Amino acid sequence: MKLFIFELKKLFRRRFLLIMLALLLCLNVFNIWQNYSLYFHNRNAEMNIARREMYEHIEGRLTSEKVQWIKDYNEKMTAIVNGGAAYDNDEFFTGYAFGDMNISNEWLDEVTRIYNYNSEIQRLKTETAEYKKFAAAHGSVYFQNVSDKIEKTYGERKIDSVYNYSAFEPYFSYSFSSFLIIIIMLLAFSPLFAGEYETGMQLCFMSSVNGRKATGFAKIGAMTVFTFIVCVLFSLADFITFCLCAGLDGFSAPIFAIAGFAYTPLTCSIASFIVLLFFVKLLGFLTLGLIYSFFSSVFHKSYSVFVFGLLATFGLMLVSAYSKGILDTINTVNPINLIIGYKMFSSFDVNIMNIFDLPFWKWSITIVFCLVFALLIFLTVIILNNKNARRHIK
Amino acid sequence: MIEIKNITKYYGKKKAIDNISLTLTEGIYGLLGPNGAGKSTLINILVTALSQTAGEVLYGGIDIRDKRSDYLSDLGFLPQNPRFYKNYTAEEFLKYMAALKNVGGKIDGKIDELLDFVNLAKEKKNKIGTFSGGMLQRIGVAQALINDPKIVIFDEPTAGLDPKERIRFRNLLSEISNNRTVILATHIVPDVEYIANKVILMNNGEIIKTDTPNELMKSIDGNVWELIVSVDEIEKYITMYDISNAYREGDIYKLRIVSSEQPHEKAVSLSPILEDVFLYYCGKQ
Repeated sequence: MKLFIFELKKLFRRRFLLIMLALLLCLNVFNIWQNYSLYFHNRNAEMNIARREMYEHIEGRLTSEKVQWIKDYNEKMTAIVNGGAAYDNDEFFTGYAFGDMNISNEWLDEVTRIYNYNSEIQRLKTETAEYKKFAAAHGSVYFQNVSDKIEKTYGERKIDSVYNYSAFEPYFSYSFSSFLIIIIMLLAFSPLFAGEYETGMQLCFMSSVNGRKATGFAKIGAMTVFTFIVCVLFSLADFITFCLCAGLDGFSAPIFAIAGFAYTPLTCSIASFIVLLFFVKLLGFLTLGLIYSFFSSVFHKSYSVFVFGLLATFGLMLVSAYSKGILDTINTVNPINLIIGYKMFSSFDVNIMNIFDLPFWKWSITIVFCLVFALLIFLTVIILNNKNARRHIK
Repeated sequence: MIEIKNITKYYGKKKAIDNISLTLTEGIYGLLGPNGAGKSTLINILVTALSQTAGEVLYGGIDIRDKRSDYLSDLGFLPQNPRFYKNYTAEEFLKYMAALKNVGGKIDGKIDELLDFVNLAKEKKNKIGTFSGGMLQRIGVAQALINDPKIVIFDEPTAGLDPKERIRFRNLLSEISNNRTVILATHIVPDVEYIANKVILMNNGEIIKTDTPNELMKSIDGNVWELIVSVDEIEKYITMYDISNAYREGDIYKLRIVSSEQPHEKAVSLSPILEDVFLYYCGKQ
């Protein structure tokens, strides 16, 4: 425990690292504010504000009155635009009929989507039942199991509220903060072991009772806590800034209420999904941290670790983006998939894996495989620190 | 007691240590040799940072690799030119080293005692980043002693220190040598001349000679000469002989030559010092 605290102190006392952390946090907040704020002073600001004001009329539980209101308002604006009368009016949300017509079109589409979701699910249920019969007729156990899984996951779904769901999509897909976390991690963990070679302290470790395995555990423990804290800071910065800038609300609504997640295999609330996504990302970052620790155990110089860590990260990003066929199966252990975890949860068609005729959600397999992968790297780092590291000293 | 038995170490195809055997009991051992003689390799094997290719190191009759924890509990080590954590205070650093060395119990008193011993008591709360070279070496000595070791190894501890700090370091070493085996690896001869009970001379991965400084000096009696030469002649003697000192007096040079043959009929025999011994065994030949 003492060694773990000392290792944490080593990380948190690096002034350069703390300054970088503060700067990158500010950069992240500024980036969100500039690109996603409804109120940022750009040409869309007035439209965004009007969109928000119109939303307040339909927000909350979906009722026939609200559906009627948006329908009527859209028809009214369309008629004005087509008739060419009273085009500008201060009582309009945007100040002119054409703007209001466009915005009400968007909200009408969203309300219609939500209204139709329940019937879509009924259609899916019917199709799944037919599919199951077809699979049974052809003797396919796996596809019968898939049908059962779909029935069980999607069968009881319904959406009964309207919220500003579209604001969540940029929030979930926002990955600039992940890139910044990776930079901080590379700066922090490149010298984790290699720095001890550089300073000559490695010899002190080797000649000390707790200098091998216990120090390895302490360093990996400190890496874990540091990664957790950095992830919490950036996640909070993302969440608070998006809430303030993009008007996130409706956290108690189900995650499948968001258009991009309509067929997600998850049935939790948006709030629970935010927490789940944080831990999924954290696992991805920890696996990356272990990869950097591995490099740090192998290389003598911190900058070599930084360069190789950066190259490895870009390589993993490329594999995550472009892998096909057998590479896609190997890609299951790619920690980048966890860092961009929202993609794993956003659709079901490519997300089911066949394991011994049993259908498993790909996200659950990815998490299990990444955990095993992380454990293997962890053990390798500990073994290197315990034995092999000595071979690097001349 | 440490017994080094037939230790050989290869780096790839290069032999760094060639079949060394040695027994170390209590006292100060000066491990002397030129750069590349194999001192640091031997030290790294003794501190278990390196594995030997062949042979064994026994502590209390047991191979140190078999009972590494017991051996390391009795070992203190100051590596060559370490850069201790500059963001730690002296006190924190020693607490960290105590944790590394698994020193339990109340450590605060021990730390105060050690800081006092190495004359750094006033620097207890100061960051290591503010320390001079001499202070760094002294905090290095303190960390090496934190577990009250029976064996203490110093690798080139005085490199880069000014004369005052080197004398201070030697005095520290003398004080800690009671009931301990102290190994001092260096290529700076005066460091071991006055304090080492025994000198181990190494060159090209082999032990050339092991003895007390006096016996070593006696062993080359009649091989050290003083010769006065002109400025024109000096180049010839530097090429032909090992010169341990050249002192200019106007137009002439007083050369201290280490040679088994009399370099010139006018050369006068001198009593050897340890630097002569070093040159005799590790010089041009």
